[in-house]
Amino acid sequence: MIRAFRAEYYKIRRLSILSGSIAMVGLSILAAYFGITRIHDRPDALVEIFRLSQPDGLVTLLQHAATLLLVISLIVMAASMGEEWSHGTIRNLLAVSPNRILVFAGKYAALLLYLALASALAIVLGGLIAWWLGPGNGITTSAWTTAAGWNALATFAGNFALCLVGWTVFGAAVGILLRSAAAAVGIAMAYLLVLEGLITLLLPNVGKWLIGELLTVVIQGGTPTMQYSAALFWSGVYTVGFLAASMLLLVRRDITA
Amino acid sequence: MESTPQAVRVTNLTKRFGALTAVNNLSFTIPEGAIAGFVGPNGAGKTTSIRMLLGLVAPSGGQAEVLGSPIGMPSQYLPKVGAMIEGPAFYPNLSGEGNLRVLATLAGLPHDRVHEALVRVGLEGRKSDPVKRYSLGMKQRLGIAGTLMRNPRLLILDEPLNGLDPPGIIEMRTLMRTLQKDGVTIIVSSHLLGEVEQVADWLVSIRSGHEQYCGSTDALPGRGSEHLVVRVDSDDEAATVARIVTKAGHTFTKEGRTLTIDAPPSYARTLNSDAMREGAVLTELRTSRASLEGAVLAMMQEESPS
Repeated sequence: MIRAFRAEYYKIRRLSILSGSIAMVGLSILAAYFGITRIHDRPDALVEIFRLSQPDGLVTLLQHAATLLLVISLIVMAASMGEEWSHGTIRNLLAVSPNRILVFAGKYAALLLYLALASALAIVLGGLIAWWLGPGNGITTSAWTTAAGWNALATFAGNFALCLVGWTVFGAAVGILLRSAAAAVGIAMAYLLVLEGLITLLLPNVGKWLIGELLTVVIQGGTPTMQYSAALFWSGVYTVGFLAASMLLLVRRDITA
Repeated sequence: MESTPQAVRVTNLTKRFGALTAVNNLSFTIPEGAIAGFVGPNGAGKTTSIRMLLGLVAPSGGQAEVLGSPIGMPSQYLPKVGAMIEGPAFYPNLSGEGNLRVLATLAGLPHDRVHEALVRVGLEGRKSDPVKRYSLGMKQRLGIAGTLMRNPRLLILDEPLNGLDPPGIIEMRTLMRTLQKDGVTIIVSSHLLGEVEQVADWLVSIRSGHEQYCGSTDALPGRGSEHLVVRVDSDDEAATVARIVTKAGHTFTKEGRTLTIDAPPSYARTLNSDAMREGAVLTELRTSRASLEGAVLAMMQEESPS
């Protein structure tokens, strides 16, 4: 597994993968920039300025970018898993190291670490931009560095980490299931952006139990319609289910790519 | 070959994909140190068989051993096997060297093996280029480099000559012979029988998922033994040569001024000197035999119900 982990880092250096982290950083900075500089354009500007000036104000701002970071992480993971079949490189990997679970566990761990570091960089840079621009736009940032502010930030970081695992396991499962980078990204996006949205719109009581909705509740730390603990539990169930299905497919399916 | 250790031993190997039986009770052996041609028409089951030997595809039935270990335990023998299946497969945006480093790291090999392998296949000068800029021949060479990094005891090459230019094909043949001298067993899967003939001393021919022939290329039925072909410039000389050959106890067929003599290559020297003594000048004297291609095709036609 350690070898597979190290081997993955040669692949991560490709521009196609690195562009994922560039997009993450860019989106986080843009979200922070527009979230603050356009605050006066909002009809509820005063309420929003008050909200962002609270100890958890920075977290409120960062949550806008967090969902995008998680979606990019999902895309990178699904594409990276699926490309092993698309390029036929899976047969090279498994002809060198026949334990499929270890090869893909190492690959997943390397990509997860990369995405976690890229997300951390994006969040830190987004936070710094917000901290820098906040006072000039009427937001008092001093509450962000109080004990309560740091506590909110740590909780957000923990929830983001949990969601990152959930989203990336989902991405990996789709990549392994569909055995194609393009199909994995396309189907995952279609499910999250279209199908789950439609279900949630038409059948809200069903939609709230779907993986995307549950993970959104986790990153928000709970919502009025779903408790944090319930969302966390059912997200975990989904994640374990995806993991088990991926492992089963990897072990049982013939490699014909 | 009973006493020769076998690099590959396959017994009644079968693979079904739903209703399709891709490999059907296939049995063959490949002795250690051989260059074995693994031949058959497209769709004969060659690649599926190789995938089973490498643990990529689970057999539906039968057994096989590679380097003495059962294929159910690929981790026991794969470290000693280099394989390029169904053409080279790489990450197109990664350099040639980067692609090999992925495999070397995964195999736990020192990275100087990457350099050695690139030098061996003549790609050192292009090692930093992304693979998407490589020609098919260069990708093929990179694939070979990937298999050589592990210093394999068994090398499995699926259509290794695809995309290679004539010098590349000659280099590949030389490389295979060199590796064979080093004790490496090589399986060359190909539908190009003429190319297989150039290097292989062992042949496994399959058709519709089962074996047609397994044995030495020399012993292939229909290929016959080597014979001599003689050409002269006049009818008188042809008659003289015919008389000499008959007197020596050999049979022949005559077509114009060309005689095909059922005699071993060793008879060529005697025939040449006897002909000169009797005043016949041989303008051509060579050995010949039925090509592997011809023999295998004849075998396929015999088996074909039509």
